[in-house]
Amino acid sequence: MTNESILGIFAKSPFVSLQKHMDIGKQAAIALQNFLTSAGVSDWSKAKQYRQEIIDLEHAADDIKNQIRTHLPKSLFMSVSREDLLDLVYTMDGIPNTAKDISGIMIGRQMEIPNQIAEQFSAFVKAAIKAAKQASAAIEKVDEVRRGGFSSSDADLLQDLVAELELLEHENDDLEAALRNDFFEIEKDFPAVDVMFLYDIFNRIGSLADISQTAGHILIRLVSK
Amino acid sequence: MFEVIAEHGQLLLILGCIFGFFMAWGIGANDVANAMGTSVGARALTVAQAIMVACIFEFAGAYLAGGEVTSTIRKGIIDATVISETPELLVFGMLASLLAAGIWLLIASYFGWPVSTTHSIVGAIVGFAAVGIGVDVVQWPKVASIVASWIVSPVMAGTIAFLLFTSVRKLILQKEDPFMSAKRYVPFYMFLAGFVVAMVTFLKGLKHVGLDFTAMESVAWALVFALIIALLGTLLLQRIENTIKEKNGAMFDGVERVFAILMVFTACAMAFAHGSNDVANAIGPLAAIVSVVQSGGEIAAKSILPPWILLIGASGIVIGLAMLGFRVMMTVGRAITELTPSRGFAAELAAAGTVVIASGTGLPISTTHTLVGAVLGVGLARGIGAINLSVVGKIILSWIVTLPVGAGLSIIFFFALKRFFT
Repeated sequence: MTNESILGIFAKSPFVSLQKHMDIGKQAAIALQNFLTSAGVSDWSKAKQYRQEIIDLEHAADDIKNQIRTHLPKSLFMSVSREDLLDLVYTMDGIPNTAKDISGIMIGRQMEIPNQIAEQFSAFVKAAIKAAKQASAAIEKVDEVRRGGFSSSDADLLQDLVAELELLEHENDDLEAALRNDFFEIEKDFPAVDVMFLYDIFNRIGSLADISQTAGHILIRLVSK
Repeated sequence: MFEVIAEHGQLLLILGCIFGFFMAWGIGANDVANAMGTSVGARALTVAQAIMVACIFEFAGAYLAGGEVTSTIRKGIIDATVISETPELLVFGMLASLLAAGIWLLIASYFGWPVSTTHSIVGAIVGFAAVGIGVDVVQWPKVASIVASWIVSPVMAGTIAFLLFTSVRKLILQKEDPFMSAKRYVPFYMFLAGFVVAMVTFLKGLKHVGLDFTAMESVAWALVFALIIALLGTLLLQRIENTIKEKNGAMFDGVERVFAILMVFTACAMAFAHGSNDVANAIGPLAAIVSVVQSGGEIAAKSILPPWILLIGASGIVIGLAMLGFRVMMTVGRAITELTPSRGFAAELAAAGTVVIASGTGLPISTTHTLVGAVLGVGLARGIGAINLSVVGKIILSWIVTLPVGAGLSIIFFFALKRFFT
């Protein structure tokens, strides 16, 4: 006798996996922050450990992403839109991916952050990580909203979280602009290739906040179906 | 041809009991587990508790409210006056139908196809009658209304479930203090569950127990009964505190634990509803056989359902449930991770209400299909995380396949029995 019965209509909800994926993204963001702190003081052995942690997290996130994708057939009827859900996972998957890229480039080139901009750089990083964490918090909130039957008060709460996320992203943009300006003043003093890569790193760190903001927007779309 | 019955009466009776028991066993193994699985899946009942509830309320439903459907199965589908000269054909046919439906259920269960016991038996009876005896023996208008009810009942249950869960969202989940709102409003849902069940029982069920109420009296008694249920529920709810606690292997907050109490009530209603409708699938044909044989070949238009027939049906169901259904509930019930009592109750109450009303009207409908409709209704109200529509597709497919297969098997068995005995 097989286990199938009409009760098979209760499919495994993707929300559990979504939360897990989210949590891993958050951990990757924190690991990246630690990595950048270590790299900032040229502690490469410690940075290598964090780099490994980021790689492991990125693999774990990929596994969950694939699991969500394969367990989300078109025949699944969900309380949220399937496309939005997949969009959200793919977008948020950018956080561990970007963390891996940043740590990879920096460790490969043993990049040093110039002393003159060290302080601004760490503020910039902090803001980007904060945005990533905020996105995770918002996604965690979605499960609560769902359990409460998608009430409008819960949706408002989520809206507030995402509005905050937008502020963080703007703040991060401003910090990035200031950082680029200041580095522009002194870039002549450094080898051109190093300068190029440093700008690239700024760019990638800034994209963490962009990804988080996009995820926030998808989230609003997801809830207000 | 009355001599066939005089000569082989005893043997036919014994065969009828065996086949009827076999059919009831199949219902217990397959159907009951489906009907009770939602409660287990939502962690409102343990498997052991679900079996206990099923044993008591399946029996109560069959005894108190199963009369109308039993009589439809027994004499509503076939026009008995046409075959009053050849009563043994009715006996062979009913035997064949029980065997056909029972075997089809067994095959379907083995392969995991979600077939309906109701569709199997109705298909089987129509099959042997139309092909084995004659097309004009079948009361086609009645059959048409039964088939129509198979489409109407899931839709109706879905609509009710949608409205129920929407009311839960508006009245409870979206309130400032969902816990207090739950405690305030949940007794009303209990009242509703009690009222529907009691109303049908008082109106239609108690006649053959010797109690006959007028419509007004029925309403009055049903109201009293529902009030008692609501009061009992309110007392039970008082013990619930607004903290997160473990229940049957899942963490629930205060609101869901309030609904878990409600779901105990709706689970009872569900078992009662199932008993009132689906037990007839096994005992209806048996009752027809018994009445023909015991009257020595007369197709009695009116006869009382002997209680021992009911006992065969009820015990078959309980044994089937204990042997196989129990395992289905263990595996499937545990695999449901995303169903919470606040959603499960809405599906159960909607399905139970629809089925009980059908039972009162004498329409044999599929409890499990009705439940599927109700679950979809809750899903449409954005209540359930994910619903597997491919299973719904399979259910519809097996719906269509079951009718010709049930009919075909019963035709084969009918001619075999006829040949064997004459």
